[in-house]
Amino acid sequence: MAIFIFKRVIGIPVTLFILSLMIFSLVLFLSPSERVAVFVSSSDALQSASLEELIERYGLDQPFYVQYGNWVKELLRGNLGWSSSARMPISEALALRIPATIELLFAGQVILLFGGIYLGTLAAEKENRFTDHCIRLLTIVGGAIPEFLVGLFLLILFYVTFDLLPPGRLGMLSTDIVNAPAFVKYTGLHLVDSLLNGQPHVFMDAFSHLILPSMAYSLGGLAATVRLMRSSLLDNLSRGYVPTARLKGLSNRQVMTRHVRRNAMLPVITFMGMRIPVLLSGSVIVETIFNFPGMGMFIVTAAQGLDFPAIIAASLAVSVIIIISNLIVDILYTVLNPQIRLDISR
Amino acid sequence: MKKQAKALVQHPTGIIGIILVLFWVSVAILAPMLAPPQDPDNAYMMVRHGFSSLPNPPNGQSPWGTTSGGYDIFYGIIWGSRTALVLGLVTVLATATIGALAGGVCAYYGGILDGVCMRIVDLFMGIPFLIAVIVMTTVWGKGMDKIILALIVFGWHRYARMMRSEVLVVKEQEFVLAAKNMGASPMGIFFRHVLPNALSPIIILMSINIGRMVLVAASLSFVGIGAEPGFADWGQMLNFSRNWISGIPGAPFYYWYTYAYASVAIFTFVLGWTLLGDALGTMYGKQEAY
Amino acid sequence: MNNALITIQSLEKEFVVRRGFFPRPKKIIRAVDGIDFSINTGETFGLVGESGCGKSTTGRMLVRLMPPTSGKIYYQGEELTAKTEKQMLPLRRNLQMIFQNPHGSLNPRMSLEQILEEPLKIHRYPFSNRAKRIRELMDYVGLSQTSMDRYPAEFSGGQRQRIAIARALALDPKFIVADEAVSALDVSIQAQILNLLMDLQKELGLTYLFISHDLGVVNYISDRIGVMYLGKLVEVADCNTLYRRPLHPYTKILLASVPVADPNQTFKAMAWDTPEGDFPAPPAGCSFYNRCRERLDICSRQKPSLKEQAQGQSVACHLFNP
Repeated sequence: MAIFIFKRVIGIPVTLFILSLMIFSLVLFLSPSERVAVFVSSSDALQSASLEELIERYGLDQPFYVQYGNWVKELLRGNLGWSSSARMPISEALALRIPATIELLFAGQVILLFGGIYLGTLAAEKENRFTDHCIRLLTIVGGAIPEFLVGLFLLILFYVTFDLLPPGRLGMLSTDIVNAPAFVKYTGLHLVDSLLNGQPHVFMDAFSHLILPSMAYSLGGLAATVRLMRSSLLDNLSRGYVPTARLKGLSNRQVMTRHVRRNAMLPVITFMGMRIPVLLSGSVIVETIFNFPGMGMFIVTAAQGLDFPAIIAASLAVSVIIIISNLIVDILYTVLNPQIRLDISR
Repeated sequence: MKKQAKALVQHPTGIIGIILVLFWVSVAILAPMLAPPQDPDNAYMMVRHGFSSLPNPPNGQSPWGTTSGGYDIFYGIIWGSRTALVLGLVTVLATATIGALAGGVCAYYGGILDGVCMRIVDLFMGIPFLIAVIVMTTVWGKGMDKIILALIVFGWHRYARMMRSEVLVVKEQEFVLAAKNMGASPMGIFFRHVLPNALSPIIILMSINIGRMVLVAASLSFVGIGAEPGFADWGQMLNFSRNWISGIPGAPFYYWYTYAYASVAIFTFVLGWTLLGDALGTMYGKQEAY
Repeated sequence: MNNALITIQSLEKEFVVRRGFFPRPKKIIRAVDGIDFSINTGETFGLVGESGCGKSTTGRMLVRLMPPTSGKIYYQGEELTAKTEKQMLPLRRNLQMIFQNPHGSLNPRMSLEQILEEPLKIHRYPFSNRAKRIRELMDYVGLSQTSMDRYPAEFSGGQRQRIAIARALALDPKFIVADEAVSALDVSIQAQILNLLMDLQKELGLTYLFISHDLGVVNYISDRIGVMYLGKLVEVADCNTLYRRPLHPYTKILLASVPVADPNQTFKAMAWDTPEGDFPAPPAGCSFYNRCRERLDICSRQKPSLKEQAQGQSVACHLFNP
């Protein structure tokens, strides 16, 4: 198994290199004066030197590969440029925004996985009965409604009508606690940090702010995982190993949880991996609707303000998020799939 | 052909899909009659009744009310259907042509070409569509044409993937061997025999994707980076309504008209094409077309 | 042998399975493992053997649908295997093929007329004569009453096979490979198609390579028969000789498994000692060694080669080549 994961990990630099080349080539669409902004690290630097000097200094009149080399050099030093829309260095902005999006992504994947397993199992157990039909109807409707309509609907229903579950990432009280110097930011993830700092209220607050946005953007995927889980369960139930396991003396429930469900989960996990880019796209919408300050909102404000360095850095950050979460899904798949596990240990 | 049309109509979701699609197509065609533009040269700009920053409820002048900025909602919905239809058709035709040819040719010739092609497709599969389109439109600048271009650049790979798997099956069929045996050229075989027999799942995907493309464009406008302000576009109308969703204290649905019409329009448009594609899929026996 | 239309010499075809991006142990399957035979002008050469023995691969290599790994194929003394695709084009009209599956061999999106016109188009048959030629072809295969704008899906299996035959005839070929041409059809239709093929042979002076797993069918239509086993030709004989006096143990088993249409004769199938399946032959010896009931010691050590035993009968077996 270690070899399998190692193989995946050594592929990452190659992928990153190709993606960074693609992203940096976007710079070619920009004029040299716009390009300067990609390299400078603070607003002061922009004012202290003339444009010609800056173009000279960053080699913007040089061939593409030299510019790319310079860019990567700056990147490795942690200098991603200055974001005019966020009015801070991009590296700082990303440090604030990435954890928010990761929390959202994680919550969305949890809904996809457990919602898919639970509803899918329910539908399979009650095949062609009332519950099954209800779930099917829900999945069809859920799959057809766009994220921003779901988001708006949830916002109107829970916030406007019932005054529950407000938008934003944290309530006012919790924001004060988090921003206080006593609160140590270990990871930037409020869910983790609040527990490490012994602040269960902040945890609950952060959790309640995650519910609506993660629901809004995982609904479309949930419809698919439920359908996948249902058909995959029914397929596995009709296989020969089920009677074998029953004859061995396992109870129906044991067969279901130990064998069938475990095997049936594999396509759902694969789907979760494929869904990561879709969820990140969705985060643009739901973060805007729910005023949730993550990468999606960052990209939108950057795009509105024509903040090119922020856009380019954000693209790179999103690529990294995708690559790492894909790796996690792959590992999860390996752990669950005995075929790979055994294959590799041999 | 007649038989297929009949089967489609008898399909319960298919008929709903067809009705919705036909409805929006006729609205788009009849737009100049349903909502006569004030300035025929600039018909896609929404008619404005004043410049009030407050939305106005439905009245004699504007049957469905106005959004903030005085834009006529009825006009916007009617002409927005044209925007949606043109955008959907153009992007889908372009992506399908590019993707089907790329995937088809790669699968047909195989070898290194196929390997490289599939690496590229895999790479594109991992790129978040909406974010990529936002990034491209930011770099290229605003406007419908830029959006359409970005949608095409990041939308072709699905067709390539699907076409590839179809062609891999079709090219092993005996009629392809028979054509080769007659002495047909590889190009001739590809266009006469392989392509026509691999197209049906592509058509299903096209139908579903018309809705999907419109949705992405609407999402862009919704977050305020799509069409230029005032352009008749459903996403933008929803964007205008975002500040009015919470209503006024005590009356949460006070500004219902700002979002209700546009939401229904987008939902039914997308649903129509999706259901149509779904029904086509069941007809061709491809349940998991997408 | 000087009226041989087709001659093949030590023809081999290897398939490599499980080819990946990274170099890893490859598995090589020898579908055709060095066979020699020739087909005389005007005769029908039958090729029998169980599925996977390489008979279809042989047929496809003969009409250059597949390049051989090694070996040579001659058509009227010209070496086909040495020709480029371009040089092949004028020859292709002489070498046609009829496929097994009448549902798969006709493009479902082309009408009958388009299907029959295609070979004429490719070989630039004069435009003005095309309609007449298509009519003529339809007459040949007994479909003269059929409307030309119907699609393959509207025809029965037998009718489709007639269309496929008409298409193969379009270019006035000399040689036709019929690959399991009747296997997918009902028995009554099989007889019709076989008779049609035989009539056409007489009328047009065709030469056939008739490939089938069904010895009964091959026996009905062929003048000479070659028996294949795991990529090797184990016995070649005149049709009558083969029936009356089979030599190779495999041929004997094959013949015994043909049901006889005589109610008074009890069906004595010779049971296999081992079930059918994937038998790794001993690398040095006879490929039939594992399933052979008359095997000798030498069979496991040395490959037998095809040698003439009697007038027109060759066999590859150590029993006869001490």
